Amino acid sequence: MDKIKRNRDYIALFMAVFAAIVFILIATFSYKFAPNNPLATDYDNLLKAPCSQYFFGTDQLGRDIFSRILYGGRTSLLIAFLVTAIISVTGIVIGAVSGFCGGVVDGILMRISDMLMAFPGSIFTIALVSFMGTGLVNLIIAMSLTGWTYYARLSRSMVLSIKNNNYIEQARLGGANPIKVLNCYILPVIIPPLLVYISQDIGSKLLTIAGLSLLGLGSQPPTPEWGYMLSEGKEYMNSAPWMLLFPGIIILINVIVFNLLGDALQNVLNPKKSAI
Amino acid sequence: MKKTLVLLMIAAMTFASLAGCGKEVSKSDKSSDKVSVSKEAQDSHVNIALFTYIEGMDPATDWCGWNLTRCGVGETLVTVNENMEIEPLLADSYEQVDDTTYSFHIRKGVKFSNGTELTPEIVKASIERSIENNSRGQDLKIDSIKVDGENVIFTTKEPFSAFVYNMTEPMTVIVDTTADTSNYDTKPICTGPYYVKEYVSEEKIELEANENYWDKVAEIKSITALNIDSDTKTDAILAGDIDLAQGPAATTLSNVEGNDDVDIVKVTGTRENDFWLNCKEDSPLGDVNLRLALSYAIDRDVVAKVAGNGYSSPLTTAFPETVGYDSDKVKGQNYDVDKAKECLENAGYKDSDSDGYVDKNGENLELKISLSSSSNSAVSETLQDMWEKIGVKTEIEMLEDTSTIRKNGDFDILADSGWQTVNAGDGQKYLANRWKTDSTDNYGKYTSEKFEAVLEKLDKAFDKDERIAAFVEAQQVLADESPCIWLYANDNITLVNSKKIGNVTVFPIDYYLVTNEWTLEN
Repeated sequence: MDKIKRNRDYIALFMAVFAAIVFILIATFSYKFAPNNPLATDYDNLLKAPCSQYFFGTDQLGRDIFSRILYGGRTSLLIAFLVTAIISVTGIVIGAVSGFCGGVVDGILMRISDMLMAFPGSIFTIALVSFMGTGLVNLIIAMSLTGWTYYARLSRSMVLSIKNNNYIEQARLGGANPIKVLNCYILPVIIPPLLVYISQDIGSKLLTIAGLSLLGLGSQPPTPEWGYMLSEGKEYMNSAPWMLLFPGIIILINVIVFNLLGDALQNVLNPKKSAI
Repeated sequence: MKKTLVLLMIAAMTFASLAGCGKEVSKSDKSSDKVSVSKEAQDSHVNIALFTYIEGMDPATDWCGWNLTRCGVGETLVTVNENMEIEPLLADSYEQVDDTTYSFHIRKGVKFSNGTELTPEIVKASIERSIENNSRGQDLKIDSIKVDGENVIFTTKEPFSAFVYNMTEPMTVIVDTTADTSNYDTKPICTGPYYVKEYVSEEKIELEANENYWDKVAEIKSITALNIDSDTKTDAILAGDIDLAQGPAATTLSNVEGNDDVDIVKVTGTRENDFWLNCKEDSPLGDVNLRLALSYAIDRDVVAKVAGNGYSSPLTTAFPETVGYDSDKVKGQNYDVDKAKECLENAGYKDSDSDGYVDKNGENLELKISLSSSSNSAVSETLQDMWEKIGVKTEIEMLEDTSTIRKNGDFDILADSGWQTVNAGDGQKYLANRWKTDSTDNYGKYTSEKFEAVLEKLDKAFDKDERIAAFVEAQQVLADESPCIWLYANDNITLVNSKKIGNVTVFPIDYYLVTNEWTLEN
């Protein structure tokens, strides 16, 4: 029984990884797949419904929505990956150091993270972006500044739970310096479970980016970006629903894929489903 | 989210009101008389959505007077009709005595909705009240107001040829100053065909026909003016929640095109849409040749199509044609890429490094288009695309709030929209506000001696032809120096449920709407 379930878990993981890779490849090589230039306007074909020339129709400037979605994937996925990478690495390092060192260092780092966590993340991000000015770079900075705290908390608690294990003590007695202990004995243990959280976080970051761009705080026109495409489409909800529909579906699919990837990863890495 | 909630609430309200109808009908067996009365009242009731929903009803406060004229509640001494001509209203005649003196003869037999008779004394007191309390009061340039028998005599501080037009400005709506004016912010007493029965802040204005009206009493007995977002007005009329919608978003109109019940009544409006150019000397756009190049590069037919979904007309001058200032005599910049390139060269810009963008002294010309993040970026993106074709690189910057950069003149190109060009039936104020040196609304910091000279000329031009000639001259100066890029004028659109309301006039000026002429259709 267990074996069958285990195999099923592996198949699910494989499929999720495959889907994620497909999306990443499509976004990376969008310039090869896209039938049209995503910025090329066609003033004779404004708000055209989906047809053979324009699979997903055109927007208010006659631009090909299909090509824009392909190119938009580059922006949206790239930022989501970048932000997740930045916050997970800094978060894990800060958390591990904090948990490992304890004392004053732990106190200072955790109070900073408490301060950041006191505000609801998305509202704090909006405030930061409004303060620094809109734009993708500022969006990445703002999301990175607010996002690392969860990783820090998680990794710190994990470090605390294994820090006093015998093998760590032995490594220390064997002469390993703190950096080596962290590097060779602690991080390798805590990172795999965190991978689950990281892959799920990509989905939620995609949603956050789309949400902020929808509010006009992220991507600046004419750069194609899924959230901003939704924002442009909302005024044409009645006359050109495809402007909303397709970017919406794509965001949905991507978020689902990265969430499933996280779930599948969790099943494989942690079959007992104990909470991380 | 908010919109969804509003829609849900509207749906719930409709459902509730339908449920109410059902009840009434079932009762009809028992007390048929009573029901027939209420049914008749219901039949002669219509729901409408105004162009914008302004908070407050007192003409002496901010722009609230516009609510009053829109709702058919308030009347001014003279008004502007659908052909943009001055028409007598509460004054049945007027004359200009000399350069600074005007005499208005007050119509006899006019009563306020509370029954008080309109007298020249009340007219004087009411206008004085508006001048004193309204920040725009000084714009009327009134020195003194005197009552002379049945006439009210106005003296202006200086020759002010637009004076009569300024008496159509809704802040001069006449209110009954003999009554208690403390609650006029919600229930002003005026002379129009309707009076305010109930005012619910941010929600609705309940209007009832004024039985004391001096002209024909309105056929439609009660009107509810609801606060509805312009994006949802079309849906609301299709759902039957409202019977008339003023100023629905043009992008939503394809849903009602070809609909048998809903008529699209339109006329080119008096509002214009333009982009400010920063004329400060240290700005690259301080060079008139560059400004002209940008203007020549724009295909305004396309811009109008993108912006108005077929409900806008292209515009190359400061006034839309409907205003009647002979804009067709003005030579603006029509789409001409070669001319644009020529102007660029005159300004010293050339693509010397062949990167596709023009440069000067080894530096690429890069301009920023700033706009509010809540507005539609379609027009900005269209312009960006068109300017790219002449090698001018632009970047779009969406800002949470544009008021700071607007005030400080801290921008290259600023998207702006919807200036009312004739907010007192006359365009002089609009010209002076926007392009006179040191005027607070002159965001582009444009200064021109030529233009100031024309403005002075306008002050003294009392003759109509002379005035129009001065307006043409002003438009020509502005077109030649392009402190702004005029793009398009939106149609004033009103959606009317033709099965319910008839005889609706659509005015070019959007602060007029409800009249006593509206009829009930079945």
